[in-house]
Amino acid sequence: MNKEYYKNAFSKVCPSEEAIERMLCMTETRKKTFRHKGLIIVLAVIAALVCGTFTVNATTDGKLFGNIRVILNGEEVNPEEHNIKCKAYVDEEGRKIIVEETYNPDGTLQGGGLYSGFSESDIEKGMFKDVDKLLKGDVGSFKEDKNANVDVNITDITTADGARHISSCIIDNNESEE
Amino acid sequence: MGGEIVTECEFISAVERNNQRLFLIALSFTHNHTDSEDILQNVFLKLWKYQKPFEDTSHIDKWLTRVCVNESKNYIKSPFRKRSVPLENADSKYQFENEYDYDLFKAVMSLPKKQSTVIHLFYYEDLSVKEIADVLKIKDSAVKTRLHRARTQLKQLLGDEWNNE
Repeated sequence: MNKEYYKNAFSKVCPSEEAIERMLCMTETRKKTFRHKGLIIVLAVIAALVCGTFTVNATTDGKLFGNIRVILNGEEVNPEEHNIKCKAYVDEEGRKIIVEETYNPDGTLQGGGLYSGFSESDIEKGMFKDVDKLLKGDVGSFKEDKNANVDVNITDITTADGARHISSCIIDNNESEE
Repeated sequence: MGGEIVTECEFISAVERNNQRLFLIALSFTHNHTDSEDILQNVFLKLWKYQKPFEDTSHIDKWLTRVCVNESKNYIKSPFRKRSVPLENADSKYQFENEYDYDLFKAVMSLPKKQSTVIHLFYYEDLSVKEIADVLKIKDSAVKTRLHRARTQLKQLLGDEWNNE
């Protein structure tokens, strides 16, 4: 009885058409990959030629290249083209925080978000306070991790308070996918 | 399906078959429309990029449920969620058939998130106590306690509309 009542009530609650459309468009990402196989090979050769440059990266303490990949609405993008800046920070215990900021063409801050691998208990203990300071530019006990290997997945939704959503963040590509 | 990664056709079918169901699971965790859509998008992105084969559609659906629960748990652990829009601003998006349905929705969304998740998995997903415990990685006794507390709360909020079971 309660189950029927419950199912009937919640049958009217669903995601927006726009959200469903965005999900269906994800198939375009793999198609593009396969369509441009030749281009990928050429790019791989070029990448091999310039890999020596990574030595420079190492000597400049990672300043030359970041290892943060930005995925916007399911597609990897060049963060600079979208006025997005992502930085990784690490605390003394090795736990990482990713901060994302998006700017308007005039250079003003449009919105941002952060993602952490901290447990809920850490956040409850007050760690969240320290993390939140990062959005205001106060690094505190965190240190910027220029060699972080991170996939930041952002959906292009801006909430009423101007924040953007980081829907997931795969740090060091070790996240389990079941 | 036989050992292949999901095709475009299978992916579209999985989105159409599961989008509302997974959205509701995420909503039971977040109580937030936009956050739930984010989780949903991320879940399907993982399906599209998943490289291992599925046995059949039922295998895909079960995998999606588990990934959705894990994504939702990770999402609510993130400090970023505290900056998002609460549900009160979003529930006008839904068209309920009558006021009783709306009352139930509001009542479930007013429960603590741990309770609304268990209630949803039990009443909408038809999962048993054991299955809920497995998917949430908690003890059977914890599921029973949360169910009991949630039912008591719903009875208080909804009166005769919610039966004693």
